[in-house]
Parts: sequence; structure tokens; C-alpha cells
Amino acid sequence: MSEPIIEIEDLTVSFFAGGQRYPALKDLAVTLHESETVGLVGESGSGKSTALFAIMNYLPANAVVESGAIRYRGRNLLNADRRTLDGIRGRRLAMVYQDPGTALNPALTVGRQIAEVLERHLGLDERRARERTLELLRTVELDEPERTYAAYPHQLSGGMRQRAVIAMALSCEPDVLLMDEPTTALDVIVQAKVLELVRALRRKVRAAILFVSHDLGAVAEIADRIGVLYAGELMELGPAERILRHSRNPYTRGLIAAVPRIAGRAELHGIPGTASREPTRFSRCVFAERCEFAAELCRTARPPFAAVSAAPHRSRCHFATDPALFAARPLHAIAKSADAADSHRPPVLLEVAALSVDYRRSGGFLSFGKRGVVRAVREVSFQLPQERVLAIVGESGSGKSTIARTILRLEAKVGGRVLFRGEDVFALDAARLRRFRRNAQIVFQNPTSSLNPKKTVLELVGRPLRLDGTSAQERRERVRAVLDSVGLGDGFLERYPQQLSGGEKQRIALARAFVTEPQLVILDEPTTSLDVSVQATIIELLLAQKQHLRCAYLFISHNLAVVRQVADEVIVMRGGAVQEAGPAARIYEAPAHPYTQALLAAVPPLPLPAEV
Amino acid sequence: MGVAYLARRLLYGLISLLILSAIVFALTHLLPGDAATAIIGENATPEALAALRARLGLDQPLLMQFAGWLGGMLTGDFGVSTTLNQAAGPIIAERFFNSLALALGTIVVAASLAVPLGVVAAVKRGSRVDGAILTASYVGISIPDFVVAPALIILVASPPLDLFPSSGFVSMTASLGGWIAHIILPVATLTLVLAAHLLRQTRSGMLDVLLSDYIRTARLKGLPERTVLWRHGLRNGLGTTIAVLALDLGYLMGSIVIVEEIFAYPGLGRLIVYAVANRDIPLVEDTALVIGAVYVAANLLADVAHAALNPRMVQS
Amino acid sequence: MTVETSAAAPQGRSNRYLKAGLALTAAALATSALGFLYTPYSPTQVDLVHRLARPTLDHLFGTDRFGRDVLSRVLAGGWRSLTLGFGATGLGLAIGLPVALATGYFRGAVDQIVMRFVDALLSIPTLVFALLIIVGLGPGQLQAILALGVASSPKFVRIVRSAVLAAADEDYVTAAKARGEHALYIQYGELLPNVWPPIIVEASINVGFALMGGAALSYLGLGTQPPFADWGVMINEAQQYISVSFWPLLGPALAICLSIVGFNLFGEGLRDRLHLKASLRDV
Repeated sequence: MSEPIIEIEDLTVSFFAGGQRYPALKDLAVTLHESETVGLVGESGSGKSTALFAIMNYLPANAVVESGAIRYRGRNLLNADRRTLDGIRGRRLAMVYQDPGTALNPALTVGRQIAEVLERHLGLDERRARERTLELLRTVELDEPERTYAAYPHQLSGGMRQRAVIAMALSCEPDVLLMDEPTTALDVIVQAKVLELVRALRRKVRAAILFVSHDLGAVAEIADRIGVLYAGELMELGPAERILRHSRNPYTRGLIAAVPRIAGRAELHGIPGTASREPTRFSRCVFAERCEFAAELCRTARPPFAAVSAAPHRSRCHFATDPALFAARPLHAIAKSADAADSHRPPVLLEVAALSVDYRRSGGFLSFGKRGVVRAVREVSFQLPQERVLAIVGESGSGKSTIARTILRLEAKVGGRVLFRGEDVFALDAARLRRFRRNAQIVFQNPTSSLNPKKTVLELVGRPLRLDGTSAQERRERVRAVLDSVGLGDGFLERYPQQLSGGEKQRIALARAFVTEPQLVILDEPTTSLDVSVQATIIELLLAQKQHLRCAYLFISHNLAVVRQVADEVIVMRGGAVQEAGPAARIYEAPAHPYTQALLAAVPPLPLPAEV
Repeated sequence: MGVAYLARRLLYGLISLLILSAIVFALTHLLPGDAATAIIGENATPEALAALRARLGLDQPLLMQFAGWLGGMLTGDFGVSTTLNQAAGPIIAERFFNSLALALGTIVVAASLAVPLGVVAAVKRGSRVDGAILTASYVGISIPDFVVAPALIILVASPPLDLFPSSGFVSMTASLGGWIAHIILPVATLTLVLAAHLLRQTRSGMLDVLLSDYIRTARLKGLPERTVLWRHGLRNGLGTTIAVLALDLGYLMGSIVIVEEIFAYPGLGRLIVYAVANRDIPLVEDTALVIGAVYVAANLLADVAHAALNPRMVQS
Repeated sequence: MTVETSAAAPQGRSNRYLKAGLALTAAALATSALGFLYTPYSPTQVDLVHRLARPTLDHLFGTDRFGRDVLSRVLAGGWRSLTLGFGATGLGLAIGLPVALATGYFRGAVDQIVMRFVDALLSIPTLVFALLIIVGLGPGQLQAILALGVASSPKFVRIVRSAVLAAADEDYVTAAKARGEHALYIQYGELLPNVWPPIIVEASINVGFALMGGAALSYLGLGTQPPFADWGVMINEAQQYISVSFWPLLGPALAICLSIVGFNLFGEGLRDRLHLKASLRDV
């Protein structure tokens, strides 16, 4: 192994809020070596961002490092004073951020923001700093470096901004590159390109890279070694190949099993429950309550971070060295037969014919004319048969959400028709409209935003019934029934959204949609805001409910792997127009349109797990 | 910054002025009692009232009166004051400059005090310095002008100190020293309160900026805190302060009314109080419009300045 | 746990503000209520022998230019000043809230036009606006309440509308529209419950400023009319004789300042307690 650059030794960090102590990281120990890329994977609450910012010694005021050290070439950064840190940050340790839109100063040009790092650390004068900056911009594959140099951040696209941030980070040829979910805020195809850039740079620079992400697929593409964080504990650490195909940790295995594969439909298994946030969780295995292998030992004693076999592969599990246990429950392989071709097509439930919708950007008063109007949907047509799932796939700005809103008459159309059970939705009278709204429901992406924080679960889920005039008694009964069907008990009735986790909130949103027993449910990116393990459980739930209610889904998403798991038919959209449409199997296996091909190629193919 | 942007802002400003003039006109004309009644009293004979109304042009349809009044204002004809029996224009013009002097003086002094203090308070948030500054600003916004003024008068304009005159006015052309002496106390009164408001707004704006992601980026690039603040922080922080300065000008114009009255300072504020008390309708509406117009102009300037500092504003 | 980049305001400070504000506000309300019922002397009782007297055990705040007991006058005038404050705020809110909810919800052309109107109104300082209304209505306590109330409503529209806009972007509003909910229900049943915290805070703070405005009007002789007096009138009367005695000024001045500080502190403390971001008024 090459020289160790960063050594995180038994790092324990806690946050203090409102007099309470919230541990975020416990005994984290990872070493970064020159030229290697380590991927740190974790869901929300895992502590991965805390670890990253701890390396820079940039934690919030209410964070306390309770023990441990972070050594850069032997020197403990956690003890360093501001002056020392100023000399190291940007020069030896550099960072790439999750959202390049907010990470760049809107009032300065991109070029200046990069050049100032060179001026500060390398003492270059303005002219030479500018030259070097232009070189850097070329290295990150920005075609017109002069234009980019002189541009303000808001004038660049998301992908371009992120490349600029990467250029900024590489400017002084740092020893360590810290990357905080650098592709999460970007569109699918752009994500792939930026990831490719990082891969290319790996070969060119000698820096150690620490790549933090929740996306196992992205990490698998570029990491030499992978570490898995859960609820503040490092659960597993080892060479990428071993972690992905021969994991010896139940959480890691659960996570791998929960990731939807673009290669085909499989039985997805999520991890039931939610990550513990109890301050006392480190006295046992933090994953015990959700683990299918858990034994009494797991609930009482904290597992050591033990070595697994001869390889530099360690796992924090009492049973890590027991291969028999994992062999008994192998990770599932792909079952390819699930995309059943339909011999007969049920009657059409929803038909959209040559639909066109304009989007009026809210320009101020007096922004007359074309400036504020964009055609968001261009002559889109499709049919959704009863009890089937039609997926609309596309990146942001493709118009897919606009279609969903227009179907429900939340937007005005400028052309075409929307027919529900043969009736023109836009021509319905009041009574029929009410019936339509009962029969066609919608679930949104962000569960926090879609539930009114001032209402209880009972009020939220019961409201659609209230509009129907159902009695309070009956409402309560039906709400309890539907909550049960989404896996939530009576205890949830009087709770408020703030008290629930993301997954629980989305279940509530689903319950609210299902309570009127609709025939059509529109799902607008329903799992995008959720953790992977939770996403899988929601997808399982959706498929089960579809059977139970015998309803049809209009499933909107940019995540092709998720769509593969649920869709019967797929429409690919871009810039408001349909690029390609057809049965799911064909679209995925033999895409005809170049855009579809590009979208599919952009999804990192997660290697299939092997039997242990 | 595009010409299109400037043109659009100018158009907005003019529209605002138009609406403003309509509102002022409506308020002074649609409420019970009109100029005629104000002049000769309510017990006058109906014929006398009708004759006076005809002479003043009050019998014409409202829209025509409005057009007439507005047209006059735009061409410099401000009508005639019914209580002073003189052309309103020159009176207003003179008072306008007096009030402007007061306002500008106050803004300069208040900004010089408040902005640095606000930035310091934000940077040292939670410290004792911040606490002291915040408390001072609290006191400042809570004490009305008509309490500060007499307090100042007692302290410095009465025996034993007797440094400044407690009222009156001397024009600049007559005696510069006298002019300054008479303007100091009104400015000081106004400054105390304005500075307190400005300070809180600056602090608030800077706090928001200091919590933003780009400040984090700047620090993690290894830039010393001084550079982070000056080059990255202030530019965005001050942008908000400038935008808010225009709002403060509106507040200032309101304070000026009281302060001019207390110090018997011949400005627009004192004029409008006099006009309202004596129901001199032409004077009231003219003065109100001028005051509003100053605010609209200040807003325009603030927007332009803000856009110059923060190029992203131009797009919205 | 996500890395928090914002540190919440220290709990202790907000509680102190809240308690102090509550105490002062309660004191102001109490003294006014008391003054309504009882005063040591009649506020109009003239005693020309003991004019402009220093404080003594008989007259804790001295006497004014007519020998009237300052303390009694302050107590008696309190309710008038406070009514001005509360009345104007209540009226401003009653006008501003429905308008803000409607424009924030409907948006579009209606919103643009109304906001242009409101912006124009905001370019007239509140006091001048109030004066314009008084020109038509004539002076008086009730007229002052009306004038100040109407004059402060544009401010409320602005403030409430910002809060409404933020809430209206949330998906639960879209979900409500998708259910076919009535516009009024969405405004008052879905939006208002999420919007009232900043409203309460701004209203509390505004009572202080309305108090100030009302006293200003009275000071100018356009508010409470003789023979009645409130704190603003008293300050005006006291001004001429400051060189002789500042006590007639000190009484009402202290009363006003403490009341205003009380309402401000209460509002600020409430804001911190409700974990709201920086004032919509300050930004």
C-alpha cells in the first residue's frame, strides 16, 4: 500500500442541542492512502457528512469531538489552530460540495473564485493565476474556458458549476480530495459525465479521494475501497470487490439487496424499520433491531470491528467470521422473467391525446410576451390501461411533472385532450369532477412538503373522506384500515408529521391517496427523497397495493432502475416531447432512440452479488 | 447590467407614482368635507359654498380634477394654498430642500454608525459585544422621536450646557455656522432611531450571509477570515442592507414629520402637519405626493445599487 | 444527522426576552386597567398653588403646569394610548390578513395588481398616510385608530404575504387543490395554521409601534382631543416647561418607552421561542 495521508483514529463526535446529546460518529477509524479512492456509503443519519467535515475541522458550533484524532501526515488536524488550518485547507486538503449552486458565491465570477485560491496559496499574480485557471477549466472538460471564467455561477448549468468546483478543488494539486455527494444534485446524464470526469482524474492526480455518497452504484464505479456507515458506526470496510460481492455484514447486504437494478426486475427487499437515533445505541449492535440475523448477543454487546479472513476486510458484526450464516440467506440474483408481456390489454383507463401545456414563468408585472412562456409539454399522447403501470421517465425540465398536474386539472392545457374512462376531464361538471378527483389521486416526491405540519395523521388521511361526507366514526375506521394496509399501526393516528421519519411520512401520503380507493394513482417521484433501504420497502408496498386495490399507476421518475421494478410500459420524455415509448422490457433491452440509450448508459450498473 | 433592466425599473417607478398620486387624491377628496367647507366653514350658506366650489374647480367631475391636478404637478404648477393664498410650488420647493438636507444628513450619519456596528455584531454573534449592541439597538427603536427630542433639548440645548438652539432655522446662504447649529439636534434625534433600525437590519442580513454555503466554501479554501468577510461576505450582505435602506427612508420621512414639528424646523413635515390641521387640501395633497415620490425615487436607486452589487438580481 | 450549519439562538436569551417582555406588557396593561378605575387624584383636578412641583410623597411624579398630579394623568391616559396601539394593530391585521391570504394563494394577475397598489401605499410613510386620512375624518381618538389601522394594513399585507408565499409552495397545498378543496378552505384551513406564528410575532411588535404612532398623532394634536389626554398629549404639554421641571415629561415618556420596549421584547422573545427565522420586517 502506498503512503497513508489521512488517518482517522477512533473518532467520536456528538452534537448538543436543547441540552441533549446526540452522538453522530463512534470510534470511526479509516486510513486514506496516496492515490487511492475510498468510497464512504451511508444513508441519512449515518454520519458520513460529519466525518467529511471533521477532516477539515469544520464542524458546527454545537458539535463536540469527544475522542479520537485525525492525522494529516502525522499532524492532528483537530488540534490545529485557525492559521495552520488556513494553510492546509484548499492547498493540501480540498473539497467538492453537494450543491454547486449554493457553494459558489453568486456575486463573484467563477474564474475569480478559482484564481483566488492560486493567488492565496501559491502566491501567483493575477495574470498567471488566470492562465492557470483557464488550464484547470480545460482539464475539467469545460469547452469555453474564457467564457466560463468570466461567467457568474447562475449563468452556468449545474454540471458546469460542479466542474468548476472540481477545478477549484484541484487547483493547488492537493493531497486529499474530499467529495460530498458531488453528483446528487445533478441530472442523470450529467451525473454520469461528472462521475466519468472523476474517474479520469483519478488516473491523472495523485491525490487520495474520499467520496461520500448514499448512491452505492456511483461509489462502485470509482472506489478502490468501500466503507459502509450506519447510524454513526462503521459497519464494514474493505476492497470494493469484496464489499459488493462478498459482504460479511447484514446491513451492507441489506443495502445491496435494496438497490433496484436496471438489469431487470427482482424481488426487492427493503430493510424494515428506521435507523436508531438513541444516544445509548452504541452499547449494542446499532443495527440489531432491524437485522434478520440478530441474536441475543447482538442486543447486549457491541460487536468489535473484526477482520474477516486474510484480506484487509473488516466488519462490525458478531457473526462476520461465520460464512455459514450468510450462505443460509444468499442475496438474490435477478429474476428476468417478471416483465410479463401482455397477451391481452385491459380497457384503457386514462388516455392523453396530443396534450400541450405552457408554463408561465412568474416574471414580474410587465414582462410581456414570450419572455415568460415556455412550452412544457408538446403534443404528448399515451394510454394507460386499467391495473397497469405506465412510467414517464425523464430528467428535470422534461415536462413529466407538468403532465401529471395537467391530468388532474391543476394546470391549464393549450391543446389536446385528457380522457378518464372515456370522459373529457376538462369538460366535467361539478359533480363528475368531484367523482373524478376521488378516483384519481396523486402522491408527491417530498413527504415533508406534502403533509400539512399542523394536522394530525388522522386529519390528513381522513380529509379526502370528509369531502365525501363520510361520518366521523366511519372515517376513523377507514383511516385505521388504510394505515394498516401501509404498515402503520393505530398509534400513528394522533401524531404530527414532524414526529415521523421520511419513510413513515411517505406511507401516510400513500395512505391518503389510497383511502378513497381510487382507480388511478399518480406517483410523482415517490421514492426520490427517501433512503435506498426505505425506497425498497415503499416499492414493495406500492406493488402490493396495486394488486389489492386493482388500480393503475402513472409512475413518474428520473430513476431508471426504480422504474424497471414497477413499470409495464415506459415513455421517455425530453424537453416536453416524447422520445420513445413502449413495453418496459423492450425499452430496457433494446432501446431505439439515442436519448433513451444515453439515459440507460448513464446508470451505474451495480455488480450482481455473488453467493458467499 | 442591462439597459432593459433599468428601463423596466424606471417604468415600475412611474407606475407606482401614478398609483400613488391616485391614492393621495382619493384620500383627500373622497372623505367627508372638502376644501370649500374647510375654508369658509360648515355654517356658510349653500350659495356661498357653491360659488367657492365653482371658483376652486371643485364642481368638475373627480377624474377631471385628478387629471388637472396631476397634469399641473408634472408641469410645475402646484396650485394655490387655500390658507396662505400663495402659490404652493415655491413654498414646497423651499421646504423640500430643507427636509432633504435633514434626511441626507441623517442617512449619512446613521449609516456610518450602524453598518459597521451591525457587521461587527453579526461577526461576533452571541458575544458580549453583540449583546451590548443589540440592547442599544433595542433602546433605539423603542424610544419615540418625541421623547428623544425633548431629552436632547434638556441635555444640550438648555442651561447649563446650552450648546445648540432648540428650535428655528437659519438658511445656509445667510450663515453656514447658524445653519449647522440649527440642524444638529434634529439630525441627532433622527439618527438615533434610524441607526437602531439600520443596525438590526444589517446584522440580520450579515447573519444570513455568514451562514450560507459559499462562506463555508471560502473558509475551506483556506482564505483567512478577514478575506472571507470582506471579499465574500460583505458584498452579499451589504446588498441586502442597501435594498432595505430604501424602506428606511420611508420610515425616516415619517419621523421627519414629528421632529420638524418639535424643533420648529421649516420642512415638508411641518408643512403637512400645518396643512392637515388647517385642512388646506391642495397643500396636503401636493406635499404628500412629493414625500411619496422621494420614497419611490429612493427605492429605484436602491434597486439599481443592489443589482450592481449582486448580478443575479438582474434576472428576476 | 445532517451537519447543521446554523446554530439556533441560545435558549436562555429568548426566554429572558419573553419573560421580560411579558412582565413589561403585563405591567402596562395592568396600570392602564387600574387607571381606568382608580387614580390617586382626579386627573383633571387643578391645583394652581402647587404647579410644576417636584416629586413628593403626595405627588410621586410631581405635578404639571396646572398642578395636576402627573401620576394620575399617566394612569388615566394609559388606556387611551393602549387602545390606540391595539386598535390600530387589530384593524391593520383585519384588513391585511384576508388580502394577503388571497393574493398569496391566487397569485397571477390579481396578485400583481394588488401588490403594485400595496407597494404604492407603502411609499407613503405610515404617519403621513394617517395624516391624509385625518384630513378627511378630522382629529379625534377614534379617528386616529381608524387612520393608523388603515395606514398600517399595507405593511401587514406585505409581511403576511411573504409567509403565505412560502407556505403556498408546499406540496400539501397542491395536494389540497388536487382534492378539489374550496379556495377559502385552503386559505384558512391549510395555509393560515402554518402562517400565524410569524403573524403573531409581527402583531405584537406592531402594537408597540402603533402605540408610538398614536402618541405621535396625539402629540400633534390630531389624536385624543382635550379635555381628554393620553401619553402623547401629555408629552406635548410638558414640552414648553421642560426648563422648569422635566417631571411632567418624564412620567408619560417613561410609560410609553417601557410599554414599547415591553411589546418589542415580547414579540422578539416569542419569535425565538417559536423558532422562527429572522424577522420578515427586518429583511
